[in-house]
Amino acid sequence: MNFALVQTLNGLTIGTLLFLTASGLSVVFGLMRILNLSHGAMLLFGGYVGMSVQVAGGSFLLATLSGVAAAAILGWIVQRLFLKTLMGSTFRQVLLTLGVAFVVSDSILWAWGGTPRALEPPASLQGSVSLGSTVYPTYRLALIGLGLVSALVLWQVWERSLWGAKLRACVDDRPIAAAQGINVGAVFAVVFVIGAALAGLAGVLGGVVLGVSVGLDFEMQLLALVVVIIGGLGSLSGAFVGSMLVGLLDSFSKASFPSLAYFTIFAPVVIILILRPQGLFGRKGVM
Amino acid sequence: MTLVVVVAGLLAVTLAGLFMDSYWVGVCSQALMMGLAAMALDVLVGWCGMASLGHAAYFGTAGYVLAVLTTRWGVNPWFAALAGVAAATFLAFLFGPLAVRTRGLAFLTVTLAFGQVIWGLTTKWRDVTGGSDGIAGVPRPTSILGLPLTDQRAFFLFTVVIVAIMVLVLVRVMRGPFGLQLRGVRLSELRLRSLGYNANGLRVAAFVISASLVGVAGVMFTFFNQFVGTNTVDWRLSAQILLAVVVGGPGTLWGPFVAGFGLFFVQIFATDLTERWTLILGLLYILAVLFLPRGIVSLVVRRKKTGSGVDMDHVLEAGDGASAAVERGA
Repeated sequence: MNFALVQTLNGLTIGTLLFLTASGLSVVFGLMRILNLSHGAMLLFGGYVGMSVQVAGGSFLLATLSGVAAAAILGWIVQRLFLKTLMGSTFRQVLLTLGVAFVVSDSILWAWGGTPRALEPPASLQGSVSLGSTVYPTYRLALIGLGLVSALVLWQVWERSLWGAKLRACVDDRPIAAAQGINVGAVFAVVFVIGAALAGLAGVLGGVVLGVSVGLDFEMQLLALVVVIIGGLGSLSGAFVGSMLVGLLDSFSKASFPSLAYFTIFAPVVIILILRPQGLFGRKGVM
Repeated sequence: MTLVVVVAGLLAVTLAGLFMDSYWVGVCSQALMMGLAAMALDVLVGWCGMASLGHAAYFGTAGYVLAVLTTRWGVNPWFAALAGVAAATFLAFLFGPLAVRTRGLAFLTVTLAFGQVIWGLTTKWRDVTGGSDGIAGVPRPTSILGLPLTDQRAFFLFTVVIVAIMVLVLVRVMRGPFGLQLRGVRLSELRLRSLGYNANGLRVAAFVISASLVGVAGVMFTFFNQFVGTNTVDWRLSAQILLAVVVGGPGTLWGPFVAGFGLFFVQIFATDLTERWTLILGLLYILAVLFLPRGIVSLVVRRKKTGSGVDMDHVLEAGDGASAAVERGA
């Protein structure tokens, strides 16, 4: 019972971090058909900047804000300098983000070295909470709560705001949306930077749980891609359900069969590809 | 064209190899294997428009099977090499039919995910693969036709012969009806299907051929180094092979071969000078994407408009939109 409860909470923690990472990845893909392979690198860059700010004596809030800002700026540079000029050429864009991923990841290794580091949780969230017969770190519970809140906020913006309506219109049919007077380029830029900022947030908040180290960028990138395959590209609800599913699978399989951990995450990918290649919430024709 | 260039190139490399010191002979041997791997991936990218970012899986699997069989079970190196290639082929039979259900970027994502499964297994399944330590002491076959393969120069000649055979077979196959059918899959899947061809079957066939040739490269690489490590299943290797195809000019076979060969030299020079090979690989990617959308081939010859070869802008696109319409159920 305790095992199940703890692993479920662990899974939801990872799921929350994955949702923050995958939502941006998925929406950017739905919007512009850009598969951003440097998303994980942006996450890690945010995490390292946040960690350095904290080590230099900054508060957790300041560390979070600077990590988010760092990732957003990196996203802005990539969008502004490269992706904008390659508009309409999907393959060149994905190769470019792959190059950016290598450059950023190796530069991080250069600047910060290879020793894994971690962030300290804020003082108010240190310690643990008693849950019946077991205890669980307060910080992780707060993280799960934050994940739910951010999912709700994103969903409200997506479904209920004028801006979200424009965004969905762009995802559904870009040329028609442009013909209606929506500035698709601006929507794309904003979504890309927000996506990078959310990845940076996942990097800092996850830095307490997973630490920050080179390698994490690719691991999170891959899990986020698996989430997107399972949930369906361009779907926010798909990203949420997929994240929680992958998070739970990850934590249960790592605890039960550590040597086959990757294999168990991959099983649902196979099932999805056989039964529903467009993903749980995806529509046909998006790929 | 392809044949002339490849034969002339191999002859030149062989001649040069006979006058170099044994370190550079070794570098040349490995560069030939990388050229072969890139050429094999070109079957998918250049003919079918399927960009795989997981080809290291087949490279590494072949190497690991060879290493495990020879070091743990004392299997004869020749048989173990065959088993290694067979394992890569079998793996492609497993992954291929699943991966070809997707197109374009989804295919790239799925092949990357499959590749990482193999990476995950090799790094975590320590009892069999040795984890991050890899497996050392893989024996080479002692000799072939009187050539002692333990000698670096003899092994180089052996590599040249193997690579030449693979190249000749591949060029022949891709020039023949099979290559045309594959090109048809990319240019107009609907028409090909209406002619009675099984488009997904052809895709799987291309996938398997490509993977088994990469497996040959993996086996040779493991024989050469007498060691296999997680670098052979790393996604950076997949990315390096894909970069070679893209830079070389997809759909030309010799372009990717030359680029794969050259890129390995760049890697050797880069790792000699700095520890930042990954950074340089990333920069090369960015430069190639921005400034060489048609590959190095475009610097050498003007591409004929025959539907042979594709530039980077069109790798992932179907020719006439017909297949996209089929996918939408129209």
